[in-house]
Amino acid sequence: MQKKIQNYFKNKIGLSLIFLTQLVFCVFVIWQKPQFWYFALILIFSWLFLQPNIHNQQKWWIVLIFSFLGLYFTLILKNYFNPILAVCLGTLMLQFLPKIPNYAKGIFYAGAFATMGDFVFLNDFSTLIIPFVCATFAWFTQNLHNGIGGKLGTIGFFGATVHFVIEFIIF
Amino acid sequence: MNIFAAVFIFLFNNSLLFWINLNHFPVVLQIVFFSQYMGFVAFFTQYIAEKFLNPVKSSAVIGLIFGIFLQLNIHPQILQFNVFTVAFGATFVGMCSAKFLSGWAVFVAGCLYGLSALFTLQSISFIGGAMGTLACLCCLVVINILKIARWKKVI
Repeated sequence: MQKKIQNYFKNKIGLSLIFLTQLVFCVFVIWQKPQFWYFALILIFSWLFLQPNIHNQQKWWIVLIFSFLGLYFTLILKNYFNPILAVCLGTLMLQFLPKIPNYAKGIFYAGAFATMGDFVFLNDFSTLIIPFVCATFAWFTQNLHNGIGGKLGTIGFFGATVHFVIEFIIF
Repeated sequence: MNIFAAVFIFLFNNSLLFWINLNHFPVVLQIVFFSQYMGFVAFFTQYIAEKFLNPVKSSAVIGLIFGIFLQLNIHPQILQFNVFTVAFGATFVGMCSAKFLSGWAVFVAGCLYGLSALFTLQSISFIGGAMGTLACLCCLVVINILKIARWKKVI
């Protein structure tokens, strides 16, 4: 019973976080190009029918470690390759390691996406903030949007946006 | 969607992309070409994910091919967009499970992604994960439209 209530609140917070991320995405687009205001209509269509599905039991600290690894490895590889090659190489290398849960492999990919922006650097405090935010977001949304393309990208985008807000707007 | 026909059209698209400068074509044609290219990338990602690998591996393998082309300084442009960079985002649409979107629906979601990427990515690509968020939005839109269509049929 307690687990059911916990899952209920987790799903509600997760849904709000996903909605917030997509809203921020639309706000960024409309802020940069106000003539595309009608892009916000996509939000209405994307939120008609949604229900949480499987109840996974992910461990937050595993998610944190792998999002950190994803970010860190990709930032190192980015010194030698273009961002896309860096992201894919790191992710593929991890896929063939045994005894790693599937969700951890996915979160590695999400952490790697966050580095694809222009302002995430190695030896910066982004390597601390982004994995923490990504892991928290992924933990809250573990029951939602499973099997829908782009969920990992949304996780990475949320981490990168929070980092952007903290580094460039607050400081 | 017939896989052989899809492979044939995709190869034809790639040969056009490599050998012809599409920037001289009318804008509408460029938009259509760009959108359907993204649709095919999404379709193949889902096909590989369902038949041979899991979605993450499938997306990463296709992304790796695009990444190698970019590393070799091969980057075809359409409407000032690097086609292979945006196509990497289309692989996220293809990560959608066949439970939610069939082959045709993924193709449509990929086309929608390509179309919306033309208008949005220039203003948002400075933040990592933007292509993934756009892919997620496009998948959700197509899933919901299909649900509404089925719901109307039942009524």
